[in-house]
Amino acid sequence: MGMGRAIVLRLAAEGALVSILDIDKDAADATSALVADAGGDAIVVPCDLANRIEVRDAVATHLARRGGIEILVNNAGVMHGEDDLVENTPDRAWNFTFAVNLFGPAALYDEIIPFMVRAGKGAIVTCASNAGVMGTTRPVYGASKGALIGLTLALARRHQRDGLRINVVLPGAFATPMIDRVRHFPASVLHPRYRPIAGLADPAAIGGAIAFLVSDDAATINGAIVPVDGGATAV
Amino acid sequence: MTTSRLDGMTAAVVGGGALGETIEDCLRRSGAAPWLKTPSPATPTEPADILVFVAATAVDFAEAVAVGLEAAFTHARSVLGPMRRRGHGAIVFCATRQPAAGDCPIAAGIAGGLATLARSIAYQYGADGIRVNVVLPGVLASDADIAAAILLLASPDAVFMTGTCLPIGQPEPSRWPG
Repeated sequence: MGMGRAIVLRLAAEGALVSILDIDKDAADATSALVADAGGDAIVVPCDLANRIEVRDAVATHLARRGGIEILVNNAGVMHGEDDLVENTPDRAWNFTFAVNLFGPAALYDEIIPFMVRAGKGAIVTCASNAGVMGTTRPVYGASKGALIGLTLALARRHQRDGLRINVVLPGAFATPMIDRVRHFPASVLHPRYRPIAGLADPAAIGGAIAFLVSDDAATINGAIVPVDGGATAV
Repeated sequence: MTTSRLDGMTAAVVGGGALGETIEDCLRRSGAAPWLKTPSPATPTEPADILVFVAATAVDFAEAVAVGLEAAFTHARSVLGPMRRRGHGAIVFCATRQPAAGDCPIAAGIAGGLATLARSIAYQYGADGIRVNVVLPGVLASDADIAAAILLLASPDAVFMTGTCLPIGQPEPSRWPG
């Protein structure tokens, strides 16, 4: 299970009316079915986040079907399969990674924040990565997430008086299909010396932090960077 | 302060306009052999002991990422191999100027990306004798201030500094690089 499905299941269980924007319609349909089985409500809006037009249309579809938008969770992201020195990293790795990890969320900000500002209310949580605040063996992925964090925190500050709360979570190593696809995942990051809570985390563990941050319990939390990484950034 | 001499060191200064010329002049007076380079990512940077990359600004976010962050990546990529083979090198990324109060998402995005890119290159290439740092100029920083900070980070005075972000002339502490 990916983090997206885990987040949808948790938010739907909390009563949210969810729209799943995903390039993988089959996986999104399966998530929607799981939500329905649990008595929740999650519709699927197929969308390639790297395509600006599709993002605009997807948000319009959501608004037409749901009538509003109080919560945005930016979870989609890609990690390029290659793990190599900067000097050996091809342009396509940069272009693909930034199209999804940075320009995808930026497009959603463009489409959704003005709507939230007009409504005077909104909670956004953006999933970056602990690789966005540390040096790692994945410079392009890390740079995309670092840029996403900078952009997001500046928006949190800009809209702090508009009724919006915008926060960042830093997921660490979760047992997800994305991690499965990564070759040469460094065993060192799973060692207790580098991660107080060793091992790959269950994706469900990201849902709690996000459900909290978008809830009214977090009404005074804005512009926070919340690591959910087993303590990797703390040691 | 008196910064260590850079005699015999080659230095590529990419971008920056008038600031780039100030940096070049500063490096030359310290004994280095600098040259200015246009920031076009299409042409690789010649091998150098020092790479200074000055991010350009743009109003459009995608364009700003291209000229402020992607170009940093491509120019670093072109010098890292030769630096690794020589066993030494210093890279300094200069972010775009940060306005007061932090209300500039584009500049913040570029700064955050440069900071993390620098940390990863520092992590990957530290054992090869290559250091990578970032300067974050604020509204109060003059070109001379910025050039002086870059000279420090490029010089052996900063031998134990890598993966860091150095704010210059900011009215308040910046948290943007994460």
